[in-house]
Amino acid sequence: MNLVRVDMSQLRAQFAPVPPLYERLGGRALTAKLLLEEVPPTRDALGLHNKLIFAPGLLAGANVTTAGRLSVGAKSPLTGGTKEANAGGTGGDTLAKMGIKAIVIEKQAKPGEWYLLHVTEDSAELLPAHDVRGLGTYATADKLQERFGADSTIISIGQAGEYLMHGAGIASTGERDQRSNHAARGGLGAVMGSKGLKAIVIDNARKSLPLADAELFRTTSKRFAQELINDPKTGQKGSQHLYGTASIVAAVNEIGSFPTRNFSSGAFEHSSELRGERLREVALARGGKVGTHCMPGCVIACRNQYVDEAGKPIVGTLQYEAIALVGSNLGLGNLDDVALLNYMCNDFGLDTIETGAALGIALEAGLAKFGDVEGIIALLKQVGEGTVLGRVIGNGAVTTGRVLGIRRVPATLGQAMPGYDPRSLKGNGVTYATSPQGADHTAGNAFGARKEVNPLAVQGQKELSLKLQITAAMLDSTGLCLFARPPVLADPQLLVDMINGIYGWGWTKEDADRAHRDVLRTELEFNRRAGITSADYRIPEYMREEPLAPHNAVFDVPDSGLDAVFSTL
Amino acid sequence: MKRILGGLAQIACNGIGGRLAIDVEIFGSLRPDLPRRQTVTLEHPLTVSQVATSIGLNPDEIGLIVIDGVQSELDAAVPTTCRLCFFAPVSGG
Repeated sequence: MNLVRVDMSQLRAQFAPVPPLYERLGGRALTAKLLLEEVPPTRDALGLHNKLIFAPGLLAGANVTTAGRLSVGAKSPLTGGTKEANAGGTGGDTLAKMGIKAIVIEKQAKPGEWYLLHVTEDSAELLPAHDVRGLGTYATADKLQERFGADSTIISIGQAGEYLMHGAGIASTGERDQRSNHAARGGLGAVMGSKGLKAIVIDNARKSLPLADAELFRTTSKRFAQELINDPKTGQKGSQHLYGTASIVAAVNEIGSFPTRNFSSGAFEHSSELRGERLREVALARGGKVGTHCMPGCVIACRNQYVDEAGKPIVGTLQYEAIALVGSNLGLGNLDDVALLNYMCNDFGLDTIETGAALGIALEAGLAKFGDVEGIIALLKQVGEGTVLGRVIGNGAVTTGRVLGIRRVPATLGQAMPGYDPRSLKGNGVTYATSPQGADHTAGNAFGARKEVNPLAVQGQKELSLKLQITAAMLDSTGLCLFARPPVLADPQLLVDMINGIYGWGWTKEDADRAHRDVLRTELEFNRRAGITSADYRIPEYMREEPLAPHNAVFDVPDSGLDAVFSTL
Repeated sequence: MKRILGGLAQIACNGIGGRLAIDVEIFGSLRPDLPRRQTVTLEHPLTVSQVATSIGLNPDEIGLIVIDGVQSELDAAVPTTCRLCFFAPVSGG
């Protein structure tokens, strides 16, 4: 395998050998290690010395179901620390099949110059990108696929990334109508914009990954897929397939953790209109789709194509976090409204979570009313236009709260909270307040944990969060989708066998566990060297004091408990 | 003595041999043939599992259980009046 190192100052891209230190790393493990080794942690995230890394997971490229997620890493301008965000789509598998372990974008182009990187199996070159500059991610993808081929993967930023907004993410095309998969969190789109890189075009791969032990690999990967098919959560009759991630709207609302009107309540009176059951009903009645997938070979297929009353696509795909942050959090109880805002965020290249949280703060400040979709659209349009107010909102929840004088800002480590209010789901609060990624549900989501803890109680939350954070590190480093965790959690040997089948490393379960814990150790060390202290991770003060309806719950896991989460790492 | 009194207090709160009148809601892919929402009147005391069985649910197929907004389990005692929600197996992203 090779790295592709891209020097944006010299406008040169070249294949380079993989240093031994990185050989057994993939996805988030690789981005974390490379950042610690090669990026001075105290440097400007939008400056010359940051690096933007695109890395497939260890299982990518071998036709392992759901293992094609592509990790994107850099120092985050939003958190000031290490950041990894990953996206579905076709990029991860394609790069791995080409034998590319990671693309590393270094230095910066001259101000005002924009480029795209074209990657084939044998070459990588930078080309001018004047014709797509200023376009949203959908138009960028359309134009570049017209030029380079409909089966090429297009990774791009929208206007938000070009404006270096800290709420900007990175979009990737996927299979068929899944045009917009996002490595959304942490402002990585701004890092890409700071490099002068508008897009990466990856040709389709003809190669396949060589296997060290084909028999072992095929047996275990087949078993893995079958177990997902048989699992009640992920099979064809499971909630993920039937309703997508919107399947949890009703449950999260019922436990009182559904962000409502800038996280001022945990239950939304119109939640029934936002449920997965409603989404499925409406989408199918109008000729839309449910149960589609973002990458070839996924057996779960949790995506959808949400359409309007005339059957015209609004967005593919409408999922839980958008429904929460640009839905109930803005007082909107109509899926059509949520879908439109989701589409706009995707096109501008914005993280819907960060933007939804920022908009919620803007509404609390009176810039529009909760539930007024036209007013909200007008605010969001300003983000795409780059007006002064648009730049405030586009720079995320903390900036918006500061400028507008709103104290109730739902964020930790500078990053907005996702769709679970931590006062009623305290395990998530522990994750938000300790993960080196900041407020990130995918870093360790306690929702749905059975028989372990009471979501409203303090006891057991830190142990649960640590366990979940290690699991998340494992999934993010292998390229596996989060929803594919049941079989590998039930039998960790399954994952080890798939890795050994591809690479022949002779790993044991203990080797794998150590590798996953090392991801967190590496990230925590980067953040420490960046000057981040425990005070920066804390849950906002108002969430410790302001009771959240319907349970009148506050976040009361003591700071001493939070500081002890990694004591057994 | 304390344990006996605690147990008696629990029985006093929930009634002895009384009746449950609970609001039950079923969500998602769980037994789509059953009514999504119904008021159920049953002899008390009962566990969640027993209520589930009585309305036609297989306890093994239930993912999440919530009583009056609080996550619960199959072996929990059901209060005499409450809102009891059954969800199919679900997980967060």
